Order: sequence, then structure tokens, then C-alpha cells
Amino acid sequence: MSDVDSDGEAPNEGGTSASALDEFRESWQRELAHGHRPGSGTTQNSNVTEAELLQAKAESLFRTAVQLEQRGKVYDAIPFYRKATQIVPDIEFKFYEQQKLSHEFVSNKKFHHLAGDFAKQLDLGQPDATEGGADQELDNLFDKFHRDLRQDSIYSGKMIASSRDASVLSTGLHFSDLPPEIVMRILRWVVSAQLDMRSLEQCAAVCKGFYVYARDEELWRLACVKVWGHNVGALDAQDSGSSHAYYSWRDMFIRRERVHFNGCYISKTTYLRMGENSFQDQFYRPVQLVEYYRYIRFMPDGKVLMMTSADEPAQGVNKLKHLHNGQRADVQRGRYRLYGDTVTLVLQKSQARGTGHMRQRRGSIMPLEEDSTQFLIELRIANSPKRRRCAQLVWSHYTLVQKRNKVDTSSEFDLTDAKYPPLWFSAVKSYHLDADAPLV
Amino acid sequence: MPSIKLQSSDDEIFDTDIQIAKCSGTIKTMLEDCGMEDDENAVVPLPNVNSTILRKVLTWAHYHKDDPQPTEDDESKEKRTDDIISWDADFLKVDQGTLFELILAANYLDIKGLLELTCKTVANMIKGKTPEEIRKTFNIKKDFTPAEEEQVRKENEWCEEK
Repeated sequence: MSDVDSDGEAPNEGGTSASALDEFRESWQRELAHGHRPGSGTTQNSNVTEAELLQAKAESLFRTAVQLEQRGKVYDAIPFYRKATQIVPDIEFKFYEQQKLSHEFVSNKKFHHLAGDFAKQLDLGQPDATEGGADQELDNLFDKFHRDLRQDSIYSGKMIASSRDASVLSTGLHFSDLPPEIVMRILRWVVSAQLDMRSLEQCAAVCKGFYVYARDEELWRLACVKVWGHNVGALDAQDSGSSHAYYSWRDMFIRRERVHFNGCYISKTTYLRMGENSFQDQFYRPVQLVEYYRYIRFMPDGKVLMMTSADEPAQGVNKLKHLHNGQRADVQRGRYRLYGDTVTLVLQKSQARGTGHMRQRRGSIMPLEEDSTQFLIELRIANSPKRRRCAQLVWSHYTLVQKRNKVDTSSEFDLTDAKYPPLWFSAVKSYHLDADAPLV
Repeated sequence: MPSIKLQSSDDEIFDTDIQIAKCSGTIKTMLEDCGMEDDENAVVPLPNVNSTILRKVLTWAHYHKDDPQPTEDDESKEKRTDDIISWDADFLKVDQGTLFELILAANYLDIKGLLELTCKTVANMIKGKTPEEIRKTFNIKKDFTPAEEEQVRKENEWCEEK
């Protein structure tokens, strides 16, 4: 116990925890003095046993550590983990059990709020605050559902209630029989490498248990890392120019400028071209109406496809559906990056054999072949009040870089509105049908 | 081929090729740690898996015994887009209860390939469905109050297609 004594007072701890610890220490020594009578030692001013007090204390330390770690503050979390394990060596196991099976004393307000107290002192804010703009009719559903799910009478230790008729005997397993780590594994497959967050949000609307699983910060953090790569930063970090603080990773995913993956950005360019005069009829002046579409599809892994085609969107989007089966001649491939509200694309000329240097991960310098042609495109992400966020891409730069004999020649395209109208996002359902890889 | 005896929870004994049994990380560790590899009569008890499920798991392991180990190479990842191949698809044409039991068994036996496959199958049962459809698929009770349901809907509004 000397470990606890010497280590018990951390700079971050405030009155509540310290007094709880003192209280415990006192009664512990009293019990030692009276000889060891397990089970009989109850404190004077509360009707919980010391073992429970001890465990509750360790649990709240552990819970605080978990919250810290989830926010990426691993080093801050370590002292809390250490203290928790010093009090109860197998706290991790017990904590896990605790989450599943609620003990009676969890309903005891005092212990229930210990973690919250630590968290407040550390200024962590609410673990899963809802987005800022939303009306806060019920405060924090995540916490509420967490509390609700502890009610043994309804949930009997499980996260998901069955709609099966209890009177009909059924032997098959139910979703609620799966342990939490498996459910999280499944949700990673639901989100998949394509970041199908919509399906995850649909899950959150199924029931309280699913809500708690689907609001898991780690899932959203991984999704953010996928979207912004090296530039993801921290929740309270500055975002190139404008400063933002986000309540949660989910909040960042929703509010920060980005491109959408579950569809295509499409623009339609129309112009008139004078045709050849007829040889015989001087008064016949043919005019050709030229109409084509530009399609850009972004992938969560930093790849991008661009195609210009006369095909109407209904057919056009299908050409960008499969990424891997061979190189389509009319599809340009490349990589993109997000900087604040601009997205920068580097595309290879379509007939160039691009596979060799496409393998680099985002952030590494793309090695170029001796002679190459690159298209550098810069687009600004714009919001329109009528559509969903980030639904519009406005041209800001379009440069062609040709490299011949180690000499770069670059030429800017003239970005007239007529030839380079903004691209609008449209969702394409078939892009997201099956998971091909889990979110990692 | 050396073989090993696996005992299911309902006391059925499965004579199994040691190479196949070893696709389970749990069994592999058990054999190596206990030095049972050379013992022909060794019986590995698997109290968490019943014979029906164990038989299915072993069928899967037998079929996939020659699978190449997954590599970290990007190129091979790209080729695996359609990787619930038809055999696996047929293999997983089971009722939901069995699917969940397979997940639990794969988890307990530490068979990564089967665990990923089964989790992916459940994920594809969820993807693209409305909450009500998900509830129906998995017999899940809606435990929201109307106010809670409305707030969840509001929170999720951002991803609705317009």
C-alpha cells in the first residue's frame, strides 16, 4: 500500500478524489488495526465496502486514462493507468467487466461522477459532444445511453436488446451475444476503406447500444486520418489559416472542408464551334454544339481519377467505378491532397505508364520518369446553402507541366467560366455497395 | 502427415491434420507451448466450440490451407477487391445464429482469415440499409424514446443525400 501512499497525490487531482483517497486510507488502516476481517469493513459515512471503494477509485482513474488516450494524450494517460493498476492490479479486466455487467454501486452517484471530475479538471470537455450547431435538447446522448445501458433489468448486461419474443425459445445467437471488440471489428468493415460513414450513422440510429458503438471516437479518428493524411492535426489544432477547434473526431469529419468519396464531382461544358462553310451554299453556316462532361472521383487513400467524356453522367460515372481492372485510356489517374479549403491534384497523362510510381503513399515525393507530362490542378472546395457541405469544386489553377530532357515547361490553362465551370458533387450508389477492406 | 486430435465442447473428437489445425493461432500456441506436436495421442480440448461449428471451421481451414499469407504490399491489396470468392460465399450461406457462432469460434481459435471473412459478411448485411431494415435483419429492438430518435436523426442529418 505504500505505493498508493507515495503516488496518490497527483498534481491534477482535486479535492474530491483526494478526500476519497484519504477516507479510504483512514478506514483501511482502521481495519488493519482491528485485524483482518474481510467483508465486514464498512466505512462510517458511506455504506459501500472498502474493496468497492478501492475498485471504484481505480476504475475512475482507469476511465480517465482511457479518455486521455482516446484523445491521443498517451503520455498524460500513463500515470493514471499506473495509479489504477497500483490500486487494483487487474483493473483492466475488471474495467472491461464493469462495462458489460454493471455492479450495484455504479448507480452510486459519487463514484459515477469521479471520472467526470477528473476529466473536468483536465479540461477534456465532454467525451462525445454533439456537433455545435445542433440543438441540445437532450444533453449528450452518448452519456445518457451509456447510463441507460447499465440498467440490468432491461439489458441484462448486454448492449443490444432483442426484439425476439422472449416466450419463444430460440437457440440461435443474437447480435448482442457478440463481444464488443467483434462489434467494433464489424463496424470497421461497415465503414470500410471507402469511409462509408453514412452506413455508420445509419447504425447509430438503430438502437442505444449501436449508437454507443457507432460514436466510438477511434473509428472517427481513423476516418479523419484517412481523409487528411499527414495534415490531420489534432482536434484543437490550427487548420491552415483559419483556426478551428473540434469537439470530437466526428465533429471534425463533419465540419472540416474535405471532398466526398461516395460519388463523383461532375461538370458540364458546352460551347459552340463554327463548322466549315459549305462549298456550294455560301449562306449555310453550320454551327456545332459541343457538349462534354468532366468527372472527378476522389478515393479515401489519396488517389484520384479524372475523365472527360461525352457520356451522360448515367453512363459516365460507371467508367470510374472500378479502379483496379486495367488502365482505361480515357481515365487520368493521380493523387490529391487537401490543404485547408483547397484540394490539389497531380495527374499523369493518361497514356503514361503510371503504375510504377503510383504506389507511393500520400506525403512522399512522387518520383518522375525522365519525360513526363503532368497536370496540376487546384480546386477550391465551396459550400452552397442548398446542397450538402463541400458539394462544389471551383477551379483556381490548372497547369500543364511537361518535362523533356530535364527541362520543365509549364503552361497555365485559361480558366474561363464557360470552359471550366464548377464541378458539382453527385452521390453514386454503386460506388459503396460492398466493403473491400476494413478501416485500419 | 502428422495429425492431432481436437475435442469439441460436446466431446466429439476430430482427427485433424496438424498443418490445418495450426491455422488457429490458439491451437498453434497450445501445441508449441505444451510440446504436444510430436505426441500422436495428444488431445486438444476446445471447450468453447461445439462439434457442428468446429466441423465447419475445419472445412474452411482445409479449403484455405494453401492461401498465401496476406502481405502488406499495396498491389496485392488491390487485387483482392472481389475476394469473397464463390466458395466462401457458399460456405457462409448459413443462418445468422451459425454465422455469429462462427465469428465467436474464429475469435476464440484466433483464425484471422475466417474472422475477417465473417465480420465482413455481417458488415455487408448492414451496409446501405436503413435503421429499420437493420433492426429487422438482426431482430433488434428499438429502445429510443421518440425524442431520442429525433435527436439522433438530427445529429445524422449531415450525411443525408440531398
